[in-house]
Amino acid sequence: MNIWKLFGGLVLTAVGGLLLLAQAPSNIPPIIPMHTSYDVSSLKYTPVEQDHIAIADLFFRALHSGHFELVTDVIELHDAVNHNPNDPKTPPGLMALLQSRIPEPKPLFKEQDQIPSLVLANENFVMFMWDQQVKDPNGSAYPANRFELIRFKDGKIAEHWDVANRRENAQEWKIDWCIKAGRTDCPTP
Amino acid sequence: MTYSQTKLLFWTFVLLASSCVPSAMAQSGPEKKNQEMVLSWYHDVLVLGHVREASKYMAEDYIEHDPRISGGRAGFIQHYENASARPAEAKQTATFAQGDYVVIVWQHADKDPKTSTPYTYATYDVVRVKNGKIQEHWNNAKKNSQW
Repeated sequence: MNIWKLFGGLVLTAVGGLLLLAQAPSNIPPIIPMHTSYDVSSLKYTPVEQDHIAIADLFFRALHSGHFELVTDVIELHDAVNHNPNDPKTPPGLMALLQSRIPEPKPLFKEQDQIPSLVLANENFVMFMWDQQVKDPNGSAYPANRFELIRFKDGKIAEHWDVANRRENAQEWKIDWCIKAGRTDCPTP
Repeated sequence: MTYSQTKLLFWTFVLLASSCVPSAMAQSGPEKKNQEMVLSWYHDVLVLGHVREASKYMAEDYIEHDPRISGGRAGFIQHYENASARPAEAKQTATFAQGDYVVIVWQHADKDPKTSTPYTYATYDVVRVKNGKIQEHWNNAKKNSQW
């Protein structure tokens, strides 16, 4: 069972694919979703940082599994800034892009590889790091890391950075998709 | 410019830059100390290439997760002895410490290789510090990364 701690002592739980919102018993420890072999014994988060981590985790899962209705609840829909140079500049544009790739929602809690290996937070910033296998030009796999950074404002996601650029991982298809979709929030080609 | 002058200039830059980074960070004394040490290491050893200073900052059994570098601290030194491997100066988007970890997110300016349109993108460095020395480092490099 997955448990996400939310504001005001509420928890979001997933049981058999269903999302349930419930009042958290006072003895539930903060849940930090992490699958790691690294030394994380020194990490201590404030209640606000724990809320931010839980929301960031839900945001990434919802975005990549096509549950956009959950994304709209946790992001500053009109003011948030996405710093990926290949993505549409607004949250509705980003969601439309992903919706074109994920027309049917997938299980929110099934993808184990979405669980980060390191979560670091300080006040309004939350950083997630994933261990992943990538392939070199010869097709041989090797370990590398992927990162996402989120800045919160008043409990909602206000800013997001990942690691895309236009040389190593150009993702031109995103810009092409945006222009063809006739959107006004496309990145400059 | 002498080494001391370069260091003074760097810390002036860090102090000015940190006043521009959004959101004041709540950090303990040891966390602040770790953050300052890591920024100093990054500038001294990686950017300026003063690899002989590496042992001042990095533990003997240092673990490097950058897939371009193998062989722990010695491999790290060998990699950054090469001037073309060193990262260019970039703007700090966010820098914070949490427990033994320090996060630095950089903003780089670049031009689209096809259209020459200017754009910015982010890179990450995460460092684990213990007993005043850097034990472990992760970044978003791939084997073909150019910086």
